[in-house]
Amino acid sequence: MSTDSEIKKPLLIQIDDEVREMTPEEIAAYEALIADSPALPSAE
Amino acid sequence: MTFPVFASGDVLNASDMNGVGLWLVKSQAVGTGVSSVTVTGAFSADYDSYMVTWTGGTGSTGQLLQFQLGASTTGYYNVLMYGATYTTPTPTGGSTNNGAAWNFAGWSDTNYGYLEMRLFGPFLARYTGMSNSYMGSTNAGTGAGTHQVATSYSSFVLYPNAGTLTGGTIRVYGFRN
Repeated sequence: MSTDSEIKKPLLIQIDDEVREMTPEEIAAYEALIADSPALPSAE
Repeated sequence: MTFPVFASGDVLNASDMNGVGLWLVKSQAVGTGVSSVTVTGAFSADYDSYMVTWTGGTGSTGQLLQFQLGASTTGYYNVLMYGATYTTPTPTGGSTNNGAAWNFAGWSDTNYGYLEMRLFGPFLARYTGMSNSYMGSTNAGTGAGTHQVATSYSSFVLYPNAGTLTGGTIRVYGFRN
């Protein structure tokens, strides 16, 4: 049986008033964007 | 009529209305648990410069907000100068160097989320400028940058670098030319 943490929620994309699940192509593009998003650096 | 204070029943003279500096272009409610929000019809030839805000919403976790013009995923440059923490605000900087989006555009977490960004020339077929305020939960700062692609854009995308966004309203205001 899957636990809650093992169940991956679908990624939702909103375009104006429309909210829907991302297509596989949109998921790939989204994950590439997220991977390219840096965190704020710490103070030196 | 004494601009900008109007009385009930005053005629809206063209000279007065043409002096109004900021107009609400679009108001977009944000859904529940969305990973990105695209707002279309935001920019047009009516205005050169804009302010974009998001208020009243939250994030699923502490998350930086990213901002893209149209479907463009290249040519973003920006610098955010911020105090490292509210306790010890050592001047610190983060930057985007030819990135896929303007990073550090805003912040959201489970308590709140805010975006405040000014855009210069997004609908013009030239580089776009931007400046923004970053209001984080542990630090804050201000930023500016450019999008170095000479293309006209009418839409934008807002997304967090982790988790999702829920609720609130994105508003686009145009500065009268």
